[in-house]
Amino acid sequence: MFNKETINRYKEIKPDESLRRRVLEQSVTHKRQNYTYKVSFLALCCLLLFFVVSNNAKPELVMDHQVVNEQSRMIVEYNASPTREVNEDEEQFYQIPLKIVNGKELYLEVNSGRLLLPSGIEYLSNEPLHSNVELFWVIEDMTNHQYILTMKDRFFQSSYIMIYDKENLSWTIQKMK
Amino acid sequence: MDASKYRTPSIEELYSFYADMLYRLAYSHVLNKEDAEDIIAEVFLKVVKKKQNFNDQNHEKAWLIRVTINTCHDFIRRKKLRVFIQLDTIEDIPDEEQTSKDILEHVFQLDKKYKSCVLLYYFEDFSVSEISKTLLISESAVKMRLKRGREQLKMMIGREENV
Repeated sequence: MFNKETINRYKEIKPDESLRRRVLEQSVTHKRQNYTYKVSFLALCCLLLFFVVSNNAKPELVMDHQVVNEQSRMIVEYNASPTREVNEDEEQFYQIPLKIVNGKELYLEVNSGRLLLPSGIEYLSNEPLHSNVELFWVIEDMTNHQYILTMKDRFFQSSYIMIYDKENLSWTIQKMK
Repeated sequence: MDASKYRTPSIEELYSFYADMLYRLAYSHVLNKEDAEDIIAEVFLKVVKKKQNFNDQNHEKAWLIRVTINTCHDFIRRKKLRVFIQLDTIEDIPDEEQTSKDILEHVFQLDKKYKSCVLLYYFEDFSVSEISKTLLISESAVKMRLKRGREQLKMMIGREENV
């Protein structure tokens, strides 16, 4: 149908060498862009994950959602009437460092009033807490379903141990001498 | 061949194997060097973007040709190109070769539907069966397009001779 000359003429149509460079360059550019997008996306995901995890990183004590108003803070009321010493600063809040197992430091705010611990436990001691009291809390995750808190007040020289049962969401408290 | 066993060549390899043929096809559709280059660049970018894996070499070749032809059609539609025959970019053609240039001009003027079949069959040595698989049309459709393409070509040449 077509003579050789025509076919050769057609086959002479060839791209410039610059097209090869252009194709290869755009391929590299696309791959680089794609890589950058992936890295950015991954970084964004990590960031989101970090925020989600950090927002959920409340201590499990919080799960009874009582008396907790901030992620890293437990509010404890103290309403007991002072006995041996009258405290003029009954309404004062005290901030007491509280260490928990995951290494985060919590602050326990003690207002004058009845001691209401996070799960609603009551202060069982006959000796009310005094506003001068200094509490040292140690929380240990002894098992998968228990927290043990030891508390010592310097004023009364008393020690308390509180056990939180995570399964039953209940506290027991024992006074130790 | 099992698709999992066939190693899809790199872009550089694909370019070396097919760029000339694809460029010729693109050029014969848009009749412009720059536009043909744009189309080929776009086709290879599609390969990279789609991370196209091919079952075998035939699949690879057919895919590239099909995508090139479709990209040409899209390009022409998009740009609403009025295709003028400008073969000046093909090197200076000596007078005695004028006839072959004229015939090629006529081929390039064919309807796009017939042009691809005629080019693949007569210029790229594809069989009817290969064209059928490449363009995803039946073999009888290929034959019909070739026949109509030839008729159209004869009409063009006849018209010119009468002038």
